[in-house]
Amino acid sequence: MRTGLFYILNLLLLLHYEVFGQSCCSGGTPLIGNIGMQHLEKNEWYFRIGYDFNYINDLVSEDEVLEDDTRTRITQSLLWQSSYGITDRIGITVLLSYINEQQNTFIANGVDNRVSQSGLGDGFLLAQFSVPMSVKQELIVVSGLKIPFGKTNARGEDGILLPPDLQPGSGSRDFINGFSYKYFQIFGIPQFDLNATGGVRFSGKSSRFEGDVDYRFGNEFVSAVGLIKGFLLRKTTLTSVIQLSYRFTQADISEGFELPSTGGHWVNINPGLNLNPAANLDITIGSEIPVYRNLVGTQLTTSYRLNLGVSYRLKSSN
Amino acid sequence: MKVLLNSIKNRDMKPLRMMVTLILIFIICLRCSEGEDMTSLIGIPDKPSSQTVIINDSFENKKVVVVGNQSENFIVSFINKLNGMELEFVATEEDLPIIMRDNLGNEWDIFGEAVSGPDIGQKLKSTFSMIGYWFSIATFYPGTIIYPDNDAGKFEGKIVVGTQGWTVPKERVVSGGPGIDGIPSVDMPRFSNSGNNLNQLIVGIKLGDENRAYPHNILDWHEIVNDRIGDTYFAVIYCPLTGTATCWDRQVVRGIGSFGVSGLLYESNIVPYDRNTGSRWSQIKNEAIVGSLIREKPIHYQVVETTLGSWLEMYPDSKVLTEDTGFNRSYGNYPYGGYKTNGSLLFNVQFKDERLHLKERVHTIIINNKAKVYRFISFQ
Repeated sequence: MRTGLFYILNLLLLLHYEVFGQSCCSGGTPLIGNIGMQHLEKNEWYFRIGYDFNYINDLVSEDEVLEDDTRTRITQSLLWQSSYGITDRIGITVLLSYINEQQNTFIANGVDNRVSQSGLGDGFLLAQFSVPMSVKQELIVVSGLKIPFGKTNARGEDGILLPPDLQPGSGSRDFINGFSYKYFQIFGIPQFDLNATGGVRFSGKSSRFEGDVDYRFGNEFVSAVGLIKGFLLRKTTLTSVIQLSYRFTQADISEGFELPSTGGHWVNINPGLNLNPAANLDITIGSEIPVYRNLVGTQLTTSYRLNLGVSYRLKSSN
Repeated sequence: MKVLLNSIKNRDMKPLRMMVTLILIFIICLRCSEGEDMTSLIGIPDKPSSQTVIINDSFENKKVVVVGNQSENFIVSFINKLNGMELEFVATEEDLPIIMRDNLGNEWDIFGEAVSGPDIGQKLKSTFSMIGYWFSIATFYPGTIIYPDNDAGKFEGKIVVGTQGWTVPKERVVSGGPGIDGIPSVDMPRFSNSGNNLNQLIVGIKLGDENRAYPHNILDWHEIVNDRIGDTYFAVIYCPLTGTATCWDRQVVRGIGSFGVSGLLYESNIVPYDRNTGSRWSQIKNEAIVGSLIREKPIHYQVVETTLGSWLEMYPDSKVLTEDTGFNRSYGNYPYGGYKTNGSLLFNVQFKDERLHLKERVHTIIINNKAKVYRFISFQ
């Protein structure tokens, strides 16, 4: 328990440091929120394939939603996660992404103008540690790097370099810390668990416009707290999840100056379902619904997100 | 610090109170300095001169008269020639919009029209000029002369040649992010006879007997207003990143067309597109840079930039563009944070000339593809 507290405190302390992360890597896919942190036993594999649909259509000025339909962005991501337990406590995770970005503007003559771009996005390489806890609790901490696999010099049909937020990659190497905490059977109720997650991302230097502009994405902090309730549905277990999540990003820094209209606070509700049709197989469906935003300046931001995941556990015999 | 520690030990709270007061004053000063005040704009002194000042000058073998007033926040310029004759101008003490008098006894208004005297109704030819941030003029016209110097700067830059069918290097054209019409132009402008903030800068035009003002705080969000007065169809084009305003005739685009924001930037400056042919135009380069109208020049109407208060003093019957644009935007908030006054560019430019602060607002006369700038501090 003490070790667990140490890690949580360590994580919170890190938030006070003036280091940088990024608000929106790989074209609007919040990768940090897509890491499935799972306890792994020795020689156990965990694979997860996920799909994330991010519909970005809310124009928000500080905390006010402006009625506007001039521009919409949709980010669709395929995420592949492979995790392996080296020991009963230590594991590694690799997460890769493939991104499709689409931006629609409704131009004056009524025509819908669409720009889209697809490609390999950024990835994660993470080490995880399961902190020794009592049987009713589980704490996993992860630490690692975001690696900028995704390209940042994609061009549109007219041959013009696309803007950074339509590039599949961010070009930024980030340092990631995160944790996942579970308290099983709260109030002694079977299959009724408390879940809390948190993560911070500190990014390194990046650049925009093929190196023409020095750039750093703002730090990102995400956290969520939720309740998980499982039900037996014939021979399968159906688990419902409801989470309240909070995300904060600092303003991006361009050429040493804060970039206008970047950074802010987001509070979302994340309902989801988890189906467990076989012992090693999980199917998850999740969503994100904004409940409060307080953003710097005016930003086009997420209206809702949907995600779907299928995961499989495999215990290697040796 | 010792005094402070001793006073705390001795329970004498005076030094502590003093320190807290000083900190509070410091914080209040900091907060005050965050407010947007026109006098804080770079190049305009805290106590601007209220006098109209005339500079009789020459550039590229042309005599020009440049007229400015710091407190009214305007500079305008004209070719000094009327019916083939050079005139001698002096500033008047008449109320605006009258700004100068000549040796023939004519009085001239801010749009260069003789409002009294033997040549009443005649107009001086306006120079091709614009007000904008220094960095943008310096990058489009490397070697720009800064009045009162008459030497070109050391920053000559390289000769810019077009590539891949553009009249500019295509690789220097970038996408700003929002995409074509992602920043929506105002196509059905509505007007009133007043405005909210009299300190707000406006782009003013005068066509025939009608005057209209387009506040910067609305143009910051839309960049283009497609408008008409009678049979004259025109577009007011303003780039918030370079601070430059122009007014182009819309019939240049083969029939009555309209301009939109292409979402592209060339050297950090707006690239409007015309909706009739899809050609892309450069505002500061002043031509179509790609498309079927490539190399065509727009027809200009003179604009005057000043504060709304000054404009309404000059033209009390003027119409003022309202925030009822058909779009929901935070017109009270400047969308680019500290951009107006800081040393940052959101998009890099090819030639950086740091003889002046990058964001100092200057009046630029362009003749024979060469530029000369006049600073507000020269008009005192």
